[in-house]
Amino acid sequence: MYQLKITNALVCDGSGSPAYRGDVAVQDGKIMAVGTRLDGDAATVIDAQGRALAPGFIDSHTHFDAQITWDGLATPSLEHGVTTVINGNCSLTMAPVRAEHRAFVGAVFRQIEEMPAAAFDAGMQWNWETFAEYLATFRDNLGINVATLAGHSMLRLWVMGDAARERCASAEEIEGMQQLLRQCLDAGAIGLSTSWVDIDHEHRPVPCRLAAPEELDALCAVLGEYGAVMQVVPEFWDPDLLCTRIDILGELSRRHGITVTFSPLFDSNATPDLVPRALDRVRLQVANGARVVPQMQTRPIDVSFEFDVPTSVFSSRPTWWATILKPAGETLRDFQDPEVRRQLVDEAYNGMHPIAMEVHFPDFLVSRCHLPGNKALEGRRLKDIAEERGCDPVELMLDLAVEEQLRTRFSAVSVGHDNISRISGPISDPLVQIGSGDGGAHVTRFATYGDTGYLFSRFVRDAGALTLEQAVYKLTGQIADNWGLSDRGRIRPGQAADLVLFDPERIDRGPEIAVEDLPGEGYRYLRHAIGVEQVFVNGVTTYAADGGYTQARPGQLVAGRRQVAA
Amino acid sequence: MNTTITPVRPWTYPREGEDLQSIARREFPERPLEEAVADLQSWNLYLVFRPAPAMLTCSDIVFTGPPAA
Repeated sequence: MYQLKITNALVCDGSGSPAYRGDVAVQDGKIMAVGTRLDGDAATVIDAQGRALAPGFIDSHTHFDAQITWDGLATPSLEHGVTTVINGNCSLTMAPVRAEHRAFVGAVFRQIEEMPAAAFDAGMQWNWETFAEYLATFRDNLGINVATLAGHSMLRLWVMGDAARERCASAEEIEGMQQLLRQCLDAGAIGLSTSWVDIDHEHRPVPCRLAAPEELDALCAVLGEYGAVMQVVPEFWDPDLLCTRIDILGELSRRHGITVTFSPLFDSNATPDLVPRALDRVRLQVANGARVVPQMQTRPIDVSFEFDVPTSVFSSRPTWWATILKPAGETLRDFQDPEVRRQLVDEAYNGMHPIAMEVHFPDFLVSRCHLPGNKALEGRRLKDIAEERGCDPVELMLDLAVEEQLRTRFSAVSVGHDNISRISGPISDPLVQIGSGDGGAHVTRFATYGDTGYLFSRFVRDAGALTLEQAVYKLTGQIADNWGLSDRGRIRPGQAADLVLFDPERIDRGPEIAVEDLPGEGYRYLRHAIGVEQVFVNGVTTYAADGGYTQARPGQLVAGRRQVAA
Repeated sequence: MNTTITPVRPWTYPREGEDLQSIARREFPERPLEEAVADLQSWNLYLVFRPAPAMLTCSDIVFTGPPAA
């Protein structure tokens, strides 16, 4: 008697092999049997009616580190078929963090991941310091599986205190970080994350960027002891910088026998040769024995913003950047100052594009207004409104922002990574892993969910760049292999029964919507799933299209090549 | 670095406390300082135009040669 049997499914087993009609039986959270027709009763039998049954999708680049402490389902990732999320990317984690650094870490997290302060403060019951204590706070309330990286910036802060923001580490401090990393890995960390790019809330480099090369090398040596993975954010917008970073990663991989993964591999009209050059460099490194894995997201970049919070859209335009970094009152005054406005308008049309994005101000959408009289403008492009009014689109944007006390929300849509024909080749490349989705981050700027459905709708059905089986493999088996998740990612006896049942002709991401479901006050952007029928985590239904999320909490902490201590 | 892999461009890491001037002295001791700094600036615009108060860090890449023609 099985716990669960799913019959008459189109089984995509996560290996990339051809799908077949068959049954899958589950017992005690594990897949017990797989075959074209399985005998034996089950407590629950589900007739899949020919729909696709795949291993649960694995999202390898998320930032649910804060959200997971109040939302054990990591909504809405689960409904998109994601059964395992990997948190703690980009050097940022919620542990290990000493009490005296909580304010700093919270501010950095909110800055980089663009989470409302009120939501963060209301949701986080920050009563841990060590990595093990952090995991213990949510491990019994998980509806989704969670793997967590140890953040390099956090290791520095713990060992060096505030000096982590100022200088290189001494030999003793590096040894201290090595020991701390071992503690995190023993507690269940899946690896280490670092960054060569990120800045903190004061626009200074995050602590890990102050590390000298020997510090990162020493930490990679520890990863080698554990067979653990390193994730890094390189200068993803510049071909020469990125290729040089790939060489550095290749050397670290070979020297310590580790897998290193970088994110994102990002396509842009500004540098159309970047992705091919980077992939050539990865191939060269792999051919020389390195394990360097580029992560590529599936969706284009859309950015929503208000002028009361600095956003990277303006970082390459000095007057804009200087103006929006000021307190709101001064920004408002500058937006009305004729000379500053002249400079702003000039820069809007003639300034440099921000890294990896193509920003055209007149194409910005007015996505949300606060004054009733302006509501009719929502969803319209600036240039269309300006044409009706006989004014300049940028002047119109400034006027709206002033009129609404900087609370008008604008959207820059498809400003990068939006050329499906150019991305189709790399995304199907065997060396490229799907990732960089950023779930749980940038929640007030754009929806970071549904990249899984988008892969099927755009790259399988529309572009034909991948078969159904290849797409499933890229969301499951390939990621499990890269990250050492040996009991996930495939439909095989003995594997964890993480499963997603979906309609391959319909699966997609829904429209982006703003939802006020964060703790305290605050909204976030999300997308609901389309075509995902049922999601099982360790053999238990956690989401069903006809009933929504269930109350079950079968999720587990997932470690890599070493198991989480019970 | 694996001996079979040639860097895409020559580069160096900054040492603690270094700026482009001190890197120019270190990398190009035979050249006029002003000229060497100007070259470093032109080869590393991402560092020159890094928005304040960001600074040069020991993990940055500083190219010491021009991009491929």
